[in-house]
Order: sequence, then structure tokens, then C-alpha cells
Amino acid sequence: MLTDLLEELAREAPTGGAPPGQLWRRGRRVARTRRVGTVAIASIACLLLVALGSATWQQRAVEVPATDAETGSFLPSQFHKPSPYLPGTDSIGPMGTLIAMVAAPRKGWFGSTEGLVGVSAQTGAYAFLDLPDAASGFLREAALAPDGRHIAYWTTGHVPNPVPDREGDTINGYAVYDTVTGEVVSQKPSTERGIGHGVFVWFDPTHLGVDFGQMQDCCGSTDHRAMVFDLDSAEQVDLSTDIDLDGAGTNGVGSVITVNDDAVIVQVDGSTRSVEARQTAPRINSSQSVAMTPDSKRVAAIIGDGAPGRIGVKRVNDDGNGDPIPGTFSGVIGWLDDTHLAALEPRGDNNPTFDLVSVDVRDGSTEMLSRSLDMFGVAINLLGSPVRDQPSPPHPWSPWIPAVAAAATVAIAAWALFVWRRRASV
Amino acid sequence: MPASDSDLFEEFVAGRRPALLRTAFLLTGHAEDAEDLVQTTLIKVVPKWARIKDNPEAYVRKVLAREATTRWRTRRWRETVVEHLPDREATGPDPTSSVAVRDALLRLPPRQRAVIVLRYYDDLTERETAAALGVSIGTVKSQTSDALARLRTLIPDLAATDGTSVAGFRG
Repeated sequence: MLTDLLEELAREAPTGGAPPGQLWRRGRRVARTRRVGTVAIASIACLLLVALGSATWQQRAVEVPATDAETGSFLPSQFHKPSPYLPGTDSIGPMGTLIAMVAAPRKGWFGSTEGLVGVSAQTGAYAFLDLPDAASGFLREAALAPDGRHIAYWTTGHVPNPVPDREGDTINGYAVYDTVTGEVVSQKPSTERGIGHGVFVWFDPTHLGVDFGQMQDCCGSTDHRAMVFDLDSAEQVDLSTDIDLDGAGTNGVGSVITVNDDAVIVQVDGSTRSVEARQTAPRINSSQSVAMTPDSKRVAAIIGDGAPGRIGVKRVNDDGNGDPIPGTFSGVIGWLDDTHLAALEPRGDNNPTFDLVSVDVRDGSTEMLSRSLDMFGVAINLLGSPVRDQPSPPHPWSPWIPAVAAAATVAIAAWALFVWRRRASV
Repeated sequence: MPASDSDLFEEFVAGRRPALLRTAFLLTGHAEDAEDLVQTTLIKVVPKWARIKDNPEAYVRKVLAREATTRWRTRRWRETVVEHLPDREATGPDPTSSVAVRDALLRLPPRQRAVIVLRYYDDLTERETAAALGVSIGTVKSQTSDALARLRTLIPDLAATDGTSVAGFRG
């Protein structure tokens, strides 16, 4: 019945229409138009993706300036605040000798962690240092060797009986990272509950002073121990239990001066010599409590209980603070030569950064070396390097930006293709 | 010398266009829309002709049916769905006349209308109808059931007939 009704209605259907040949030609034209549009949309999408990729890559790329001698070291005329999205050495490889290290937050796809950025002494490039097994909560305790070649840092890992409910990483040893080769030498001292209250101080480029205790509970440590680790032989020389390396200053060529209790100068072989030196002003930023000359005969330190203040220079065996140098400074870094000292100069009351200046200890006159210093590790033996305007580090986008932009490009292109192919079909 | 693709296409159009127009007329309810629908369908199959030329019927019918239903969604057809059909004269036209059947079809949603046309006019199986419309067989069954119920209301004579005569088609 329904079939009959439909057949009867269908008899009223039209019978005309465009000539078949015309339909064929229109069909071919539509197909061509559709192809052209499809190729155009796909090409535009590809171009956008390539442009996006290129922009992302350029943002992450570090411009390497031409140098007179590629092996030369330079002191950058200005330090920069590193981007949290800088690449790491795991992806770009070892950076080579560093002029400085900067602590900075590091961000990725998810969350943020404490990071350590190295500043290349050759190119001025910035990159996060991927230190194997590093205890991330103790990265600020890392120490850069005087020649910028090695970094000492605390490692985290298993210990037999860790302190329960303790926040942060459990330290099970320390390691030294080679900034040129990327090799790591690890040391795992015997520990039951983990290592605590550790301090690093470099005697010279290959001798590392290490001072640490054994964790007892959440906050205290005992069995204080200090030693010198020889990087070349991988042997350790235990220091006298009287020696406390906390706050010690180094001359970068083999001697360290301690300033707690009885001041002594310690050599890499563990031998000591008593001197007259007291330092009550705390370390500021990357400064040393006491900067000792290479011949270990004079020391410079901030006078008083805090910084900024005046710098006093004296012979190690003399009493008192020594002769104050005109000017106000926040810390001492190291000696550049017999008469010049690298020191930190405050940039202003509300400015947390410092300028690195060369101070003539004879008259207090200063010469600018690097601006905007906000670091905590510097290669003191490279401070005499020529100052150069190094390129600003890249400021990469968050990885979400190119990812979302690429996804949006693909989605819009797909939508445009869908709409276009439907419209072009009619 | 073998026939070219365009020759085969023109041959197909010459032979099958009347049947396509009849189906399109049932799907659209208007002569001009039926011509437009068939023309659009034939133009749309040209780019695929090389692949379907050996058996174009099924593909052409699929394009026709989907165009008829999707175009409704874009509201490009001139049809308008009204809440009530116009009152008939007291003596009214024959409820099974072409006008009444056409009005009743236009009262159906496009997909139900397509199901009815493909099943009862083009004599497709449920599986073939489902393939043509790009829906499941279950959807075809339910749409058929709903459409028939609606048509029985709109065309009382259908309800009076034996269901088997209404559903006298292949399953």
C-alpha cells in the first residue's frame, strides 16, 4: 500500500536536468577547486607549523659569538636572569668551562623545581645543569671549582635507615661533575641515616674540601668530619677534627682559611698553620667570608657584623681587622692580583643584585666588571679574564605555548579542510 | 576502443537520472529541490567516478540520501516544517492522493523520510539502507517503526490496511 502510494507520488517527479556533459565538466571543475583549496590550506598549515617550530627553536638556541680564541675565557659584562625554560645539559651536552653558576627555578611541562644554571666562560651561554642524582633541595650548596671546570654537589639516594618524616632529599654522598666532558665522579661515604650539614670549599681546581656530619634526626647531625678529596687520584685526606670548613675562604690555588674558632690555613695535604683572622660578617650571595691572596699572606673581608660595609685588608698574622678600604661593599669574591680585589657592590636598597667590581685596595677606587650579579658560584681563578659583552641568554616559551599553538593550527586546518571540501562539493 | 570515464558517466546519467529524480522528489517534496539534489549528487560523484564506475549505483544513492538528510541540517532546503497541516475542505481531497502523501512525507524528519523512501520505494534492505545513510541497522529499524507510526496517523488509510501490505518489502 505505502509502496503504491510512493510510486504514484514519484510519477510527479521532474524529468529534466542539465546535460550530462555539463555535469561532468562541473564535477571536474569542482574537483580541481577542491584540490587547490585543500593543498592551499594544508600548505598554510604546514608553513605555520614550520614557522612555529623555527621560532621555538630560535628561542631555545644560544647564539655563539665568534671569539678570538675559542678556548679563551671571558667575564660577561652583565649577568642575566635565566629563563625557567632554558634547555638542560642532558639535551645540549656539556657546556664547557663555566664562569659562574646561577640558582633559578626550572619549569617544564608540569610544575617547577629548583635548578642550577651554568654560564659558559667561553660563549656566555646559559643552560640548566643536569647533575646526575643531584639532591635538588641542596643545589644551592653546590660549589664551582676555581677554574670553572668542575662542580661539587650533594647526591640523593638510598641510605640504610633514613630519618623518618624528614622533608627534602636524603643525602647519601657527593659527586663532582666535569663541565667539559660531562663525567661524574661520585663518593658515597658510609652513612646510616644520611648526610647532613655539608659544606664544600675548593682548595684549588682539583682538590675539594668536604665537611659533613651524620644525620641523627630531622635537624641535627653528629660525627662531624672534614676531608680533602683529590680529583686526580680519587683519594681522600682526612682533616683534623678541629677544622670546620663552614665559612672558609679559598685562594683557589691550594689553600683554605677557616674563620670559625681558631683560624687556620689548611693545605691540600691536610697540614695547617694557625693565623690571626676572625670574620663575623656572614657570606653574602656568592661572596666569600674571607678572600685570601694566592700566597696566603693577606686576607680581605667585610668588617663588622653584616654587609654592606667596608672591606678590611690585613696580613694573616696581624691582629685586628686591618686597614679599611674606602667605599661600601657587600662581599669579597677573590683577589685579582696583588693590589686588586673582586668584590660585590650593592646596586641599591631594593635591588637584590650586585655589581662585580675590581677594587684597588690601595685607594678604594673601583672598576666595573659585571653588572647584575645574582649568583652564588663563581670561578674565582677566571675573574681576571677579559670582560666582554656576551649575548643575552634565550628566553624560551613554555612548552605548552608551541604545543597548544601547533594543536590549534592542526585543528583549525582540519576544520577549514572539512568546511572547504563540503562547500567545494556543491 | 574502450569508453572514456566521461562517456560512461554520461551514459549513467542518461539512464539513471529519471529514477534518481523520482527518489529525490520523494525525499525533498519539491521538483526544483529534487533537480538540485540530483545535480549536486551527480557533480559530487564525478571526482570519484574512476573508482566507482564499475558499480556506481550504490555510491550515487548513498550520496543522494546523505545530501538529502545533511542539507536539512544546514537548512538549505526550502521546506518548512509546520505544526499543523492546512485544513482540508469538508469534502477534502482523497487522503491517499499524491498531495496528501507528499504532505505526510514532509511532516517526517528528513532521516525518517529517507528511511521510508529507501525501504519502500527504492526497495532496499535494512542493511543497504543503513549503509546508504551511514547509520546502524538498529537505527534503520527504529526510524522505520517511528515513521510508519507517524504515517499511519497522517494517512489513516494506511492504518486500515494489513500491516504486511504496508511492510511488503525485503528485510
